[in-house]
Amino acid sequence: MPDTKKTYYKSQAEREALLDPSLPMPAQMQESGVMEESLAGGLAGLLEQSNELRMDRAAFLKLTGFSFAAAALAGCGKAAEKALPYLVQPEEAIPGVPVFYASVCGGCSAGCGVLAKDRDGRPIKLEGNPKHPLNHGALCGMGQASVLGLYDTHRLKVPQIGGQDTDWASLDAAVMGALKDLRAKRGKLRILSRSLISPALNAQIASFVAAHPGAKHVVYDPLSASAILDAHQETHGRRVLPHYRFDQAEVIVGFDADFLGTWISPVEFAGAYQSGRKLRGHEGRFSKHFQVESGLTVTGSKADERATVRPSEMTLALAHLAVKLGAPSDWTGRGANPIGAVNAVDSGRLDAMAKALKAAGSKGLVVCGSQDLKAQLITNWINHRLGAYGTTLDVKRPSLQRQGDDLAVAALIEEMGKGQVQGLIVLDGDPVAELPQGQAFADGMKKVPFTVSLALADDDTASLCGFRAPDNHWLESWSDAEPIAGMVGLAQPAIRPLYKTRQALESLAAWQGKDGLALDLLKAFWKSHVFPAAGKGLFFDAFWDSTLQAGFVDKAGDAQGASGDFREPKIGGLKASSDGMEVAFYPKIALQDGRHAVNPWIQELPDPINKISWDQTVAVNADTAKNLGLEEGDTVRLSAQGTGTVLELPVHVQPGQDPRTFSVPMGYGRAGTERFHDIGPRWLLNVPVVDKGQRLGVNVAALADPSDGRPKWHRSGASVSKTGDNVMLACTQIHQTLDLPAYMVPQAGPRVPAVQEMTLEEFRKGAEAERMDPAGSLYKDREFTGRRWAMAVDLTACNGCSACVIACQIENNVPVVGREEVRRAHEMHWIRIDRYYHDGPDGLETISQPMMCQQCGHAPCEPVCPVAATTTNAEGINQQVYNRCVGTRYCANNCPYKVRRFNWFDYPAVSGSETLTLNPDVTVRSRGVMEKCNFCVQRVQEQKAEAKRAGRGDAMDDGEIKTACQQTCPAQAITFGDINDPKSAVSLLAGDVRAFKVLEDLNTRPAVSYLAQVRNKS
Amino acid sequence: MPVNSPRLTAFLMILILAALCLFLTPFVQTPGRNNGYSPQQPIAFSHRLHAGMLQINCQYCHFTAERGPHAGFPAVATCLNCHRFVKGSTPFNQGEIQKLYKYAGLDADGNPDPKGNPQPIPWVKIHVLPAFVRFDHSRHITQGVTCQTCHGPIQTMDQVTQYSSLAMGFCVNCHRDVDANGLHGKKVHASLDCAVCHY
Repeated sequence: MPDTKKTYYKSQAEREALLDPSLPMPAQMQESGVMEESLAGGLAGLLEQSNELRMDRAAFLKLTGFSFAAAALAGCGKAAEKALPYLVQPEEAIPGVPVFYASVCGGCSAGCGVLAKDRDGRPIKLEGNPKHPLNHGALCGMGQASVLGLYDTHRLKVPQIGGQDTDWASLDAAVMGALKDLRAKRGKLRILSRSLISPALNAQIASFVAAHPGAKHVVYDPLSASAILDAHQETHGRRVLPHYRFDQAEVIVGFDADFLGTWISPVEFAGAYQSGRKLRGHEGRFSKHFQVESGLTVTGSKADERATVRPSEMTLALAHLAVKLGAPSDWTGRGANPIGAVNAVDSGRLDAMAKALKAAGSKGLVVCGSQDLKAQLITNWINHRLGAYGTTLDVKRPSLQRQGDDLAVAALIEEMGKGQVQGLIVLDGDPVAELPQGQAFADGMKKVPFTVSLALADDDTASLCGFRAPDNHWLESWSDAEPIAGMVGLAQPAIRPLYKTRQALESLAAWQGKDGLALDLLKAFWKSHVFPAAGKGLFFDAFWDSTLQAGFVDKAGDAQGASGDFREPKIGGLKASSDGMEVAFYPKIALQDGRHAVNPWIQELPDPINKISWDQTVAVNADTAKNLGLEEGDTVRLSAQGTGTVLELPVHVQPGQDPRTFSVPMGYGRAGTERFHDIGPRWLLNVPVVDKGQRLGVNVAALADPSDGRPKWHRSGASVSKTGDNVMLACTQIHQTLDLPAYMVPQAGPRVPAVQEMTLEEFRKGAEAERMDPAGSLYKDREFTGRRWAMAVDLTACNGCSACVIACQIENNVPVVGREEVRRAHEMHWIRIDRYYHDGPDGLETISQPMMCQQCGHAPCEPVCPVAATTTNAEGINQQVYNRCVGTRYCANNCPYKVRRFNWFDYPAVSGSETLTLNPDVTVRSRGVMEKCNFCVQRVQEQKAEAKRAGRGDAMDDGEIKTACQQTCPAQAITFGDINDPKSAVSLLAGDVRAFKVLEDLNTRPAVSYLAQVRNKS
Repeated sequence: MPVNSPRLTAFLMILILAALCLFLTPFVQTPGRNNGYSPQQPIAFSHRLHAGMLQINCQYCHFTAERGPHAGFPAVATCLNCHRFVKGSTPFNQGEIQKLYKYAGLDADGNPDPKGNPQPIPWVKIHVLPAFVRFDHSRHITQGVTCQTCHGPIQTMDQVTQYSSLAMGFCVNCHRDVDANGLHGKKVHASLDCAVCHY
């Protein structure tokens, strides 16, 4: 039996209330005090502040009278709608039936395969390409959200010279003139980009560089892995990033690498990690995962054993681990006198790691996200010692997802500062905002006479460039991608360019005097470079067509091969880090380095760990907060030694946070976020997310530590001081928490918590999830004679990455409501990630639980609806009929899972063209209507129609229908199907030994089963 | 004489409100209920001539009716399949076909015209469902529901008129009927779930 007596809490305040019954529960605070007070206070306060808004009885009557007349007028008359047919109908175009184009996601440099869903000629949704070897059909939240970037009205629509709109011919003439001068003078020309995984584009850049003596291509990464590449240069003689194979690993040790959430290629890693822990019944292999980090990440929350250290102690902790595995003992100090015990990772923990790694041998894997070269050298040494190269790390076919060279970037900034660079082409990225040395870069740019930016929108770098040659959005581009050596994806556009922009590939060719469309350039490259290796005896056209359809081709046998010799690294001079607080800057789920910071879906997504949307916070350990006298929401000034920068941010008290580290998410304060002033409902008392002209959050780059050329996103000597302000964070975790007063707790006995977990040991011994046998019912049981749609969610698989939340939002036209509305618990997400903390025997344990409508068999929402707007249909879906709903909200009140969402307002999109991502198959709900998850009923109906069209009648295969959340899940945690079919996947899972239902004792008979979390505790 | 009775005031207020409601009712349209709507179209295309007399299959032009949710309007190129050669027998028909040529960017003889400006024909949409209703033509056509079930004797209409109300009762009655009695002697399942149309 799993331990269902565990006490779970959702915030530090709740934990303290549990420990000390005299304190109020946060939920009660919300119900009866803080929340209402602030809400009412806000309303009344605002009314008082603004005389215009003060409404007496006469004004109220006038307004009501006006609304009545307006409503009456709105009902009258109707403009004739026009239907415009095609002139010549394209063969594949059937109105209302989507076409999927295989392409490569351009959301980041991971290079996942996607299928872009085109409805009537415009891409509205991205789905992972199920056949792609990297992501197997999954996509992360950032990738899902990147479709909105296409319709961003703030994009540059035409090329510009000196801020003035121009045409491409004039721009080309001017750029080519300047390049000619540069060539003549042999001036230093630098092309700067983030990691580019397109072989065709890289070849074009190489030829461009070759044509300009003195030119160089410099690559940077906002989330750099430069130290890993450099370490392999030293140990393996080749500057490569290994392709990590988490699927092969039996023991995984992560040091500061959030590989399930944000590190390098999280979708692939999450899928591979999950394939190493697949449980069926009581069988299945299960890897062991240790994580050492400073702040709590989704990877840390998933780890079997977790420890925290300060960022500067990471290398030392690794060295201690290496010594335990047989490394020279002087790595940690002289002889038997090692440098201080590692503070948080005690020796026992390290012993356990070392023991597990030794036992796993070549099936062990150590990954490290540190930018300290020594840390990476030690990591390489350990992995080599284990014999892991060749099994869990592949350097023969390495990853190309990070190619940035921090030393080259540092050299470039120095050159620029000295005024030695005559030309700079920023091909991709916003180095001024993304580089820790951003300010130095911006200063240096002023000394470069010829600057070109290919950015899509006017960012911090583009605004400093003389020429702006806007690139296409990736959904408008012909391109290719080689994320792993030999695994080449082909990217086709899903729409014609919306504006007068031009692809980087074409621009570079044009500036070399070569005319050509991107498609022709790409085809020529493929004919000479990819086709010979991967053609398999086909004609080129046939090869091209089949690759275009599949979206990728495997260019096997193209192993580059690092040399087999391993050169022992020399590690010495490790120093104990100085005492005191440190600050770490971390990439947050979906927002990551902030390249999509202007995307409202990403900003409104509650972080799966701290559950805060919109706000940038400083995470502080609970004890540290107590010592410093900080409380949740207190605004502090954060500074660090060696820099004059001071960040003013609110505090979030974070369980699981290292006591001596403050953690701050990066990616905020980016250009273009000023637009969020206009987001949210338009009403009298609207509080904008940002003040007019202000950016959202602050850019933390200036506080990173740029020493030794490889900037590190942390700094020692951090301190905070209170400003005296306290803000209410837009934190969704305690929203709508139901908390019963003691006298109302049922007498029947203790309730089972909403999440269940067990250790692997208990599980192997036959532990099963605890089920509640609900008492009989007053109502007659509903019989589902045909299908009954059901879902199963595996909590062992779910890591909380929140890709499902954004996928659902896009699929179901869920509006963005803005920070103020989130504060008032008016967020609209149909699926949310509930996160529960629990104090385990050796530290914090965290569980993420996706929560959507449970489609109850005895739905508490239904009997209370006065107009029968919500009923269970014949296939078990609790349907919400918008046109029937009159907005009493009784249903939401009665729902024990709190998954119903009410449209308090009409929520307009930020700009007109962003409504183009709306799914035409789903009604856009208006003000005053209740909504909630409906198991993507539009997808169910579409597949039923498809079966009928194909002449299959009502017959459907198991797994044919995939809900949006299920489709995008990197860990394949969600399964959907017909539970009345005993052979369906969802039936098998619902009958699994780990299956349980949430609040089963309420007798709601949910259609969603959860599978208990299993942890591999030693 | 000043009247100062709260009762009377309330009564009068209610009376005025009721009168106002009665007066406004005819102007308020309930969604969908538009039967009898028959707007003039940019080209006087006759379904009576094409579908009735010439017996052209409905799906020759509305070919997406069995492949997707929308029956679709034929592309201008589809009209020209015949009308490149069929130029009309009466002056009226000839005039209408000339309009087609103009939309297609052809000259008066139906030949490509370099000065032509091809434009889609702006048909006036007649059957408009409210935004909260989904209707899939293919699901109905593939099950053997005829076009006339909803569109009425379309093959007799010179100018198309909305025949059915397309209100919910119209749909539900048919679903109930075929669920009980089958369709063309074949047993079918037509669901009465809300989520069949409303999502």
